[in-house]
Amino acid sequence: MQLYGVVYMNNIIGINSLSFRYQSKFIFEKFTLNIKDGEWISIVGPNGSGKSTLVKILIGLLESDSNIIVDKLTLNRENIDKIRKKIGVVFENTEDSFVAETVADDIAFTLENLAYDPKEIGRMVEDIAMEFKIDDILEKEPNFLSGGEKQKVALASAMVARPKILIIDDALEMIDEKSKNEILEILNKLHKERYLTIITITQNLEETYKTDRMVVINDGNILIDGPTINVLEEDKIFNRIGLSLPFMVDLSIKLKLYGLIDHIILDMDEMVNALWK
Amino acid sequence: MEIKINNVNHIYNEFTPFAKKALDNINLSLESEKIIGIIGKAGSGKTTLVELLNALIIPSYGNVQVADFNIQKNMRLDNINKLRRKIGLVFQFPEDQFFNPTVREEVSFALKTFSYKSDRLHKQVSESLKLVGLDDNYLERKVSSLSGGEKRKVAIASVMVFNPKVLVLDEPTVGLDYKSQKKLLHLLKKLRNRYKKTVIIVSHDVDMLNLIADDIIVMDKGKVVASGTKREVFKNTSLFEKYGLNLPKIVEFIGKVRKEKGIKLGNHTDVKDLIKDIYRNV
Repeated sequence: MQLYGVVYMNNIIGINSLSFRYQSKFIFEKFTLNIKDGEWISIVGPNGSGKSTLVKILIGLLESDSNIIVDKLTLNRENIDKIRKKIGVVFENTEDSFVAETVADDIAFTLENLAYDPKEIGRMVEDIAMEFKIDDILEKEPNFLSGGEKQKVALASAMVARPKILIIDDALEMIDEKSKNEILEILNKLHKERYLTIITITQNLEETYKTDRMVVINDGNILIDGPTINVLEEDKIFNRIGLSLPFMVDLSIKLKLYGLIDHIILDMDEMVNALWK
Repeated sequence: MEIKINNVNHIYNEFTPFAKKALDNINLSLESEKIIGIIGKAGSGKTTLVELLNALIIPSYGNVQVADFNIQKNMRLDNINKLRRKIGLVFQFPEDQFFNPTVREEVSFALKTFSYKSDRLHKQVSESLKLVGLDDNYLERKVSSLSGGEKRKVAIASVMVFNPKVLVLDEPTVGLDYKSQKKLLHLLKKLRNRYKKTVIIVSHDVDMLNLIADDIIVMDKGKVVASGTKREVFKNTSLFEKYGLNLPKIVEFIGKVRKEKGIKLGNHTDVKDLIKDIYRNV
């Protein structure tokens, strides 16, 4: 356990004074953020706050001259292939990212791209499918899946090569509540059991409930950074940048004001039992 | 203006190997001067249903009656044009429906096709922009330079400009920040209350619909599986479980308190009212 403690203290991602310009406008100016190994962090902000630009920089889709370290490697052209192997990403519109005719081939495609031994690929695809409970749809055509299934397949594709870091970029916005909860549960398990570092990028504060830490950004600046449960109480900040408070957070803050509860409660059953013991 | 959907079945690519049934025996009557929410999973037929209303889609079988118009196969083109002045449709992505360079041209486009005179045209354009909260300074702005929220407003203005009786919006709040959402909801209520319009909203956001809708229609696999007042429909929690849909959070909470603690809180839609009620009951 001591080892785990040590590992957790190391930064897996270090963004050091990042400056990034799009045309003549600064999206980031001297932006610094460290993410610890094994941490589940959420980065939230309104449209145009710089969230997606940050993801694109981290996976090398946009280039910057700034000093960024990913798992001890400096992010540059020379290292980008190695770094991409370390990061799995699930985007918002997964429809655009399906390439193969079956789910199994689509997941295998990630491995083929990373030049895995063809003999191993079949087994790795089966393993991940079992883990994410999509083994029954492996032979289906990706385009005929429901929204929730598509996102699970996209998540399996992102995780099949066992990256150290997983980025969920606004990927749960348009899917139904049931699938969303299933995916959040899978993420929670990956985080707890495998110490996977997860970065959730979203405008929906409900998706941050299980994260350890929340960073709120706007116009490329960090407005607040801290344990998620504490940051969620900052309703004035969320109001100012135009993010809506989820029902449970809104209810908690107001009940706390009335002195009916003494801390934020995100679980509905827990709330009902706290109010009426 | 009442809308009646009678025995409608719609099949895309009928008589081809790609035939797909999108609407399955729909019978509905939609009341006037109401805000009506349509919910259902992706692929449940919501969008197809609203596209029927302004004859963007002609039903394969059955018919839709909108005032004096009868939408069915062999409907006359001049009747379709007349119908479209009565029913305005705002698509999910307003960018898709813009094809003019400036806000003025975009908003006046429909009026020109409906051959309005130019003096009246200018006034109507200004007024409908004002209605959505944009002033005349926007007239010469490039559509492409607007923010997401502003585009949505221009899309609504370009539909409101020909003064339709019914406004249909597909996922109007997706991608809008909280402030723009609140303003949009305020506008939709104003359209119902002051201008006596019928507003039909397709959305997956049940919390939003709970705030403003009068009636709710629930769809699944091309069928209407529930319809009625907001309260009636949201009361049926097992229906929502069965079709994998979520209830508005506030409704879920009030239901849970009633079920587990036997305490009856009112059917509030506003958290502030709920808090006062909780305060009285703990």
